[in-house]
Amino acid sequence: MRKQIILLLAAAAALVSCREWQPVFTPDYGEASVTAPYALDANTVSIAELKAMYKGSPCNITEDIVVRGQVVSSDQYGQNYRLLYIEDISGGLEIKLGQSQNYNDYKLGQWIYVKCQDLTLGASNGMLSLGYPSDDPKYETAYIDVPELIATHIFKGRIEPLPEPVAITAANMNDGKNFGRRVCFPGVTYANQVFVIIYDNGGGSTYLRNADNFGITSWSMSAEKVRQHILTDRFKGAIPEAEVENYLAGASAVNTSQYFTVPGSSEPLQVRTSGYAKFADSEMPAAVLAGAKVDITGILTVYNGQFQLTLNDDSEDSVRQVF
Amino acid sequence: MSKKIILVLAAALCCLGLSAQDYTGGVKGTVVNRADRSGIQMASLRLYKGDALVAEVLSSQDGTFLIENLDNGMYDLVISAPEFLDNRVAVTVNDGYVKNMFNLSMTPSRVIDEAQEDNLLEFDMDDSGYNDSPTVLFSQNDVFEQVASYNFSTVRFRARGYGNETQDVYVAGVRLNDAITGNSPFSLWSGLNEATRTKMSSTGLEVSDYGLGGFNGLVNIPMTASYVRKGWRGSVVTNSAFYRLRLMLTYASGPLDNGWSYAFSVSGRFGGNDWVPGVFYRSFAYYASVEKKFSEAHKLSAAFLATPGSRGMQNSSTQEVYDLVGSNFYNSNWGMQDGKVRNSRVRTTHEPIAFLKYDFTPSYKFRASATVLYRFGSNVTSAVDWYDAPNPTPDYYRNLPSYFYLEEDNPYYGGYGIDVADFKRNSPVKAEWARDAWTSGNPAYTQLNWQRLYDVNRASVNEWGQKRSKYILEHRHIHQNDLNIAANAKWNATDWFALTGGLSFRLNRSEYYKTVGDLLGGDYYLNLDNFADRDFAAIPAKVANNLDYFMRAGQVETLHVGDKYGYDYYAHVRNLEAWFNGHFEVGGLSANLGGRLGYNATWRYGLVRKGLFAGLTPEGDEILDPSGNVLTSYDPLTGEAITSFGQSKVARFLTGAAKANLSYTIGGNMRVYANVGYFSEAPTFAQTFISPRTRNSMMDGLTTVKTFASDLNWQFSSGGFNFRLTGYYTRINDKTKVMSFYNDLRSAFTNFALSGIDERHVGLEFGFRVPTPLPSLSVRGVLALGNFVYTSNPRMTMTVDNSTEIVMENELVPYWQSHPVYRKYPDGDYVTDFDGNYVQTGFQQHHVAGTPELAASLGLNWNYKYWFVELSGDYFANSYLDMNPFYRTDDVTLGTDNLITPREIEYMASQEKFDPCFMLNVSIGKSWFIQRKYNIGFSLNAKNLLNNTSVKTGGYEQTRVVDNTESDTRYYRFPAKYFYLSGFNYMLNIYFRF
Repeated sequence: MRKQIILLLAAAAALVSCREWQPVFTPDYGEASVTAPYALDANTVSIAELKAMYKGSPCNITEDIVVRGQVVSSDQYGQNYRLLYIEDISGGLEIKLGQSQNYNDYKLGQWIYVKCQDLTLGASNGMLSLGYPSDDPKYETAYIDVPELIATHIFKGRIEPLPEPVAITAANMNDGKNFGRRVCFPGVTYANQVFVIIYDNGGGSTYLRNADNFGITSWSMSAEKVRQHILTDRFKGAIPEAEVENYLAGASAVNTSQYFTVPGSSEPLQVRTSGYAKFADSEMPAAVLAGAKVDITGILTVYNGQFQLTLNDDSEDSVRQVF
Repeated sequence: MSKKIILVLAAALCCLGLSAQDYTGGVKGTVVNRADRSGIQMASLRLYKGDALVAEVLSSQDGTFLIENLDNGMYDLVISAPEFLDNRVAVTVNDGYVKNMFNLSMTPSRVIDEAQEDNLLEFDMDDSGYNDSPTVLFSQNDVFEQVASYNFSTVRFRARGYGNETQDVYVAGVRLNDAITGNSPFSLWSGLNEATRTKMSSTGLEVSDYGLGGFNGLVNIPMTASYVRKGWRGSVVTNSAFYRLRLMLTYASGPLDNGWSYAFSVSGRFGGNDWVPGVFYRSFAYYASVEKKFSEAHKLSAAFLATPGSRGMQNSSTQEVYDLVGSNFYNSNWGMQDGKVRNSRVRTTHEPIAFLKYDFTPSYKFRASATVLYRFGSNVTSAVDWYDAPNPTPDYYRNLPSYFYLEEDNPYYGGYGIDVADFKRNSPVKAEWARDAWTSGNPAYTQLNWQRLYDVNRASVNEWGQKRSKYILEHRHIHQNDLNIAANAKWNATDWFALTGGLSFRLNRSEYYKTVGDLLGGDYYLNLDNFADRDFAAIPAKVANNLDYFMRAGQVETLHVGDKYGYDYYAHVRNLEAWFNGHFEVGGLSANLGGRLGYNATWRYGLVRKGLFAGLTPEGDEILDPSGNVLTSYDPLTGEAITSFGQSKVARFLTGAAKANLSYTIGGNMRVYANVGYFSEAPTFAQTFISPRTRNSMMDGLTTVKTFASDLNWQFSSGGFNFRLTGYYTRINDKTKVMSFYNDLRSAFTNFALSGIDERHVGLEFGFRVPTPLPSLSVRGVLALGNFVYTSNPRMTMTVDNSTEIVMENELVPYWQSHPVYRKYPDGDYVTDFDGNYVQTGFQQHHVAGTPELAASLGLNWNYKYWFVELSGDYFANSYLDMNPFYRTDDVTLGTDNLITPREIEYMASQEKFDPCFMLNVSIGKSWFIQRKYNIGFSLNAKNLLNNTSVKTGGYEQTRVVDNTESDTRYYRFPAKYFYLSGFNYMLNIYFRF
């Protein structure tokens, strides 16, 4: 009799441990265990060494090498859409991650390890990035995109404080190793100049550039902001009155570059902000618009020889008045 | 002369007197179980004299019956009871005596496992914008319903294609369909099979003693102690399709000498199933009832029951996902957490019902009853909620291979001559990576990744070191308070006329809100509107779900586990009805004529003020935020301020119904009857409010739903032969439908309100049971053949959920009822005439979805010495997919180039038809009677013996469109999502009674 009971209990125990019974006997799941940060020191190369592998055409990486760096960009406020920037002491790197709202998974200051085998180095309009081999001949790299690709190539390490931004002056502005890095342009002044393309609903466009800000005093413009400008002064008359209806119908969020003068340099600095950024319609500080000196910190990129700075946000960490 | 007149008058008066005189003859006896001689309660006894039905009674708790006031003559007594074979005896009443039939034996037949609502897996459709509720038929003495209720339930068959809400479900004389949705409330007593086994039901347009009813039958479940079979009944059930184990125990005392009787039942359902992972039951049920019979005339009963418990839910997915994982039963709701299966969608309910019923039966001519019933409790469904973070759903379309690459002949996005290159999905290598993840079986990719949710929350640390959750588990609550008072009476005025009637009153207040269920590793969550945060970041007050809190505190609420957030409102329903029915019988002819008049009022009362729909101050002024921005928004159509807090307008309707039935009985065995009815019903709360989670706004132009229904029937029953043939025709007009979904073309969550939906349901039903030359073997079969189509194109108003913007106002949905079909060349191009116009050759009619229009079953039954075996084959066809109205608008068929082409119309508007299927089932069982006191038995039902796992039982079109295309001329549909019937499954029931 005892044997039968034991057998019955054993059978019951087996039944209980069966996967389908887990939810039945688990009223409270408690907290999931803590994920240990990743760390890998083998086969690592510096960011500069990785970037040096690019020779002017897409470089598919076949070696089992790892590059690591700290996350210095954030898409929390709508900038750096689907991109991730990391840096080490040798330089900065743009990663075409392909995941939106990635600031949730990759925190500022967090060490990221990238297994580069199967990935590709390529350039777009002069800006080098690490991505996936592209099927589109127009682009040298594609976004990494696929969850399993990301999970098997990008690993998350410890979160540490952000490194100090590299100070960029006229002297080191052209140093390519700083592209993709978090940098600070100290003591720049607003150049009262903007670059933005406004579209109508028929495929036409108006370029706003050269020596004026056309009344645009916000970092960028959402669709609603574009409409407001069209209705008030048509960007200081840049849009013909006869075209107002077409441009109103075609109004959309637009990327906008606000220009700043770098002391000692004839090259202006473009602070480029997405029309979808949460601070797109926020007015630039009045003192800045009036010409006060500011330290601007953001991610340095290049576009056809033009330096561009992307702010993570419009807080004091990004734009600080110099007193 | 005057004397003659007086004599004639006196003779006439005497005759009248005689005709009005009560006869003294009658019939009495006891209906017993052949096996153990126990009395069978609730057996139906119908007494016929020639062609005419003279009397109909039910046996009492101990099986006894009495039919009085019979004239001398020869009668036929037909006795039937569930779980027993019908019996028929000839009765002769002589000399005005009451004939004693003594024991009338009934032979037990198979234990009919009725299709219970808990035998239908609950489909998770909350976020789809669709609704899927099956109907449950009740096995009757009607041969069609007996088969249809059991065999057809697994494919979610709906009789005559009618919606679930059209079937009236009563408890103790109170109509208990859900006050908010109208759906049948079976889940409130699932697991209490024995306590609810006794049912009085009418089919189709027939009238019931408990209410006029609608056009899809009425079932009344008494649920009082006297209706529960006396003695102990227990069962142990294991099955492979729903829950692994069910234990049930019931006891009923039967009528005691002191007039009391009581009954109780408890049960539990536990475990999962063989087919859908992550689905589980941890459910209990309890029932207690007590009754006191003060006298023959007065009886008081009370009952209390509930089915508390939790069950994990199943989700649908696209065919691509099912093919990737190699199973049509993939369930995206669950994931692994530290080695344990955790389902994110769990429904936890505890909704007790309590009622008090008074029965008054002063004579056989009159009976009345009154019931007060209160339903209360909570229904909570969990779900993952997130803020400004990637969609965690594992089968999100961006995680699938098709997002990266589409083959020429891919079955998911293809068809209608589509050029897949237009989708701009040109990365075959990436698609392979995605495919590898899905075929790897690694739940980190294929299921919900709980670990990642915790990791994200733990890393989301604010400047004060607190972790702000980006993902939480929300609990969606519905708390119902439903008070019902109903009374009905029946007066057998004469032997040819009876009058039934009743009154009912319903008061319902249901609170809808959600709470934080689990912060998943974080410390707090914020009470703000995700979509508003994206669109109105510059005006923080608009983002607040609780504006009053924001105005006091200057920031949105910080939430912890248990805190209410999101929405909080009352749904109010008031309903008052009076009905009557006159029943006439002359010879073999009987008729019913009845009517109902009602009043229905419904409104919303918001308990929290939403920032997006601030409304006005109590003084009637606009509400401003601290920066002076006007928060009050206005309805563009009416100019009135849109409110979220406080009471909405009240939607009031006068409702009514009229029914007529005519029946003629021929020769005692055959009956021909016809029914017709007209109904005008109020729309439900769910059909009245556009977006009750956000505001008080109602649908425009609300009107009652009008139904005209009719059927013609022929029924024959004799010598073991049973037939029923029915033809029906029904038109339903002015239905409404409200859906909410993410609109890609507007990049916003939108509400879709459809009005003026008309349907036509036509068909026939045929059921038969015939004996064979072989003893104990009979053949039975049913055929349901219908055609359920839309007969109008509804009007639609589309509003953005988080603003006042009206995207479309009262526009026609031109391809809802049907769509045009155009002539094509063999290569697939469309033919044009000399003027360049496309040539239309006809149109494709669209059908009411979710139930097969053709259902047939043929079975062999064998009963011998308490063995019963049944083998049946079922065939189902002509079932259609639920349609998305958005695809059938000009907005979508025009495409980005604003040009309508036949290809776009046929592609967007076509309705998918499911493949037909065949299923083989077998049932076997046996009863043993021990010492004439104990009854032990088993039944084993095995369904889908051929293990057909490709049977779609339902599904819906997704509401999103692909708008990023190479050609930039048109849109494409997202693939539909489906639910499948489980493969081979069995149910083993071991029961005992004594």
